[in-house]
Amino acid sequence: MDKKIKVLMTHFDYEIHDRGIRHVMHGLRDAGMEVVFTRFRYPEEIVATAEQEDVDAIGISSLSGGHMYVCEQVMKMLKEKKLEHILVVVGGIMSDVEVERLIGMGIKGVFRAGTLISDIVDFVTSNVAVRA
Amino acid sequence: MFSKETLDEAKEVREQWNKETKRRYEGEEFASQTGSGIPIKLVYSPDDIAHIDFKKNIGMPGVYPYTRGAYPLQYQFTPPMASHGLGFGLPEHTREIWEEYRKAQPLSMRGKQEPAMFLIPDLMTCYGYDPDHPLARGRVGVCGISMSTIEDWHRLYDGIPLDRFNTFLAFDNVFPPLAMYTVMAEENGYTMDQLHGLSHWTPYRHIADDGMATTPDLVFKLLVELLDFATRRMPNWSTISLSGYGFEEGGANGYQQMALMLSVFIDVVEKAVAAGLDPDSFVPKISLFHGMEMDLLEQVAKMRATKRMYAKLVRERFGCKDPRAERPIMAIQCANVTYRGEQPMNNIIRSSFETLAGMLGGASAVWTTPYDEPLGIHTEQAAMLAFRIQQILVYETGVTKVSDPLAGSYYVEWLTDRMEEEATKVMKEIEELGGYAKAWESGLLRDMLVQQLEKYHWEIHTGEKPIVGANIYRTDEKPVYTCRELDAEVEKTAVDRVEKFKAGRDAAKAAAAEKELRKAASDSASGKKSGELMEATIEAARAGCTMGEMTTALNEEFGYGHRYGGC
Repeated sequence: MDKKIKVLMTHFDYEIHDRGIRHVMHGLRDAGMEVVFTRFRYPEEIVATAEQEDVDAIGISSLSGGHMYVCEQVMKMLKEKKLEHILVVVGGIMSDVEVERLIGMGIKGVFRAGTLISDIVDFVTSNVAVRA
Repeated sequence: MFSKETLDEAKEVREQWNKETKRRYEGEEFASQTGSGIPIKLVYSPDDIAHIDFKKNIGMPGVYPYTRGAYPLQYQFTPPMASHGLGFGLPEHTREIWEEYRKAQPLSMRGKQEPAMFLIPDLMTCYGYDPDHPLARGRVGVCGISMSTIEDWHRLYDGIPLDRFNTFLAFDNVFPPLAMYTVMAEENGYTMDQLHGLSHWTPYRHIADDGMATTPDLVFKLLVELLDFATRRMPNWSTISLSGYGFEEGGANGYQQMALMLSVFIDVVEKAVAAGLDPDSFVPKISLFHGMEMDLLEQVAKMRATKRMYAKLVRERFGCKDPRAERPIMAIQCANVTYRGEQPMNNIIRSSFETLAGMLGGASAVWTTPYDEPLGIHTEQAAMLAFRIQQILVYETGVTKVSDPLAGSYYVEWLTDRMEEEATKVMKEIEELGGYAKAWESGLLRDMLVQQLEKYHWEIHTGEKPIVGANIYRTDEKPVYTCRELDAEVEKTAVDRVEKFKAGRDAAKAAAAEKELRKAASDSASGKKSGELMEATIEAARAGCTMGEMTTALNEEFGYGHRYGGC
């Protein structure tokens, strides 16, 4: 029996532009996924919540920037805590250079303005690690 | 508004139209609605606006209720002022962008030669964290200007003739930045009464912000403190902007935007009057700000209806006698949410139409968003084009030669009336809960915004709301875009500067001033004292406190700000 895919969606606490993340969450829930939403101040909070909630994927939204440092730290900590099975995706406003660097960090999906929700849903569905 | 003869003729002609329509389009349904969801007919005629009283509700520009404009002439006397946002990197980078703007010679009001500077701080500066705070890692200067010390304010503004210049400050707590601005100006030889600008400060828009720890009461207390200070000391400074734009970006539809901003106004005036302020003294320096969405004619109706509702509130509800209090001064910005990352050049067309709507509605200041808004901090080329859109509208299209040119249009007058009607319904709902602050506490306002916001995006997703390039006429085109790159040394430089500044200042003096500020904030919040808060902030700025220190002190003692949002 298939367990629901569980996704942690998160954005910086001081970021009030949340239309994008709300819409993505709507799409994920509509596709049958379980979605947990938090706001973070420091990157370690993202990893702690992900571990606590035992999620399959983390989606980080970034509209006011700051994602490069956050993502670097998150990927580092996931590795340290042996949580590398968690799929990490990022969405928001970022340059081509940043996208390349994020992919280089091991972030599989980077979604910028104009991405179809269905593409995000398909991506998460096809790329989450299958649970034993 | 029309004679019986005209109305009889109109009825007769409409019947002819009805017959012809039925015959030609038999069986087909043509239902339509505005962007805000108001059902509309397919064509309008005199009978649709017969009920409108010309003198009471339409009239002439410069005559109460100012539906057609605050002044008898508008663009014939002065073009609208281009007031574009800017903010990136360190103060010198932002100053460079402002110098780029000057090259485009943006439209400016008579008597003011310098382009306005609508300052957008980075997230950390906005919320009061200096660059050396751990939270600032990776965020310095990224989406706005990074400023922390009085030296930064000098770096940004020195050399600009401040008495012939407008600046708008969009910070989450406007007290520290306004204090810094006045101190910097003073150090440049300008007195406060010489300064022109606007505190584009909209703490009341936190209704949908789960992270806010403040209460509506405290927000309004701060607004009243600002009104009090500016009325006494800064006669040329526009204190509060009633931002329909903020609500629009937050999800509200057109008439909800109107209802929300006017409800904020009602609460502010009532609370200021209760605190002993005279509305004739502070209302003249309140202004209105609307977001221009894509339903072009609805934006014009929205602006006209807001002006008349505002004037009526000022005269009839609050009994102001000063004619300057009644006049609705309204600025606009293109609605950023309508800009798409797909086929970004399409946004040039969107911003052109939205700017046109703003000018047809008589905006005194205009911010045309550059087309690359969804992709990054705007490039010089995109900013230049934005200024050119305004210039072409003013100098080539002829739409600014005649005041309120759409007045008398059967559709536009009908829609102006309908927008007022729908906005009034929402205001009544808010009033029944006890006003804006109470409605905020009840959660009504949050639900209103969030519901609309989610509906908007879902309709784009399903295709019900067609957007060219997004859900219709999509291509596989990936935008080729080189955004403005942040210099790699920005964060390090900002940290070095604030550390050096703190090491070099009179630490005891700064600490003492911060303590006084905390006391003033706590006294104001508790209602013990009022009318001293801004002066205390200015003293702290003079004594060398940083933006972060002042904001933290104010927010902590006042109870305004974010709660911890972590896990």
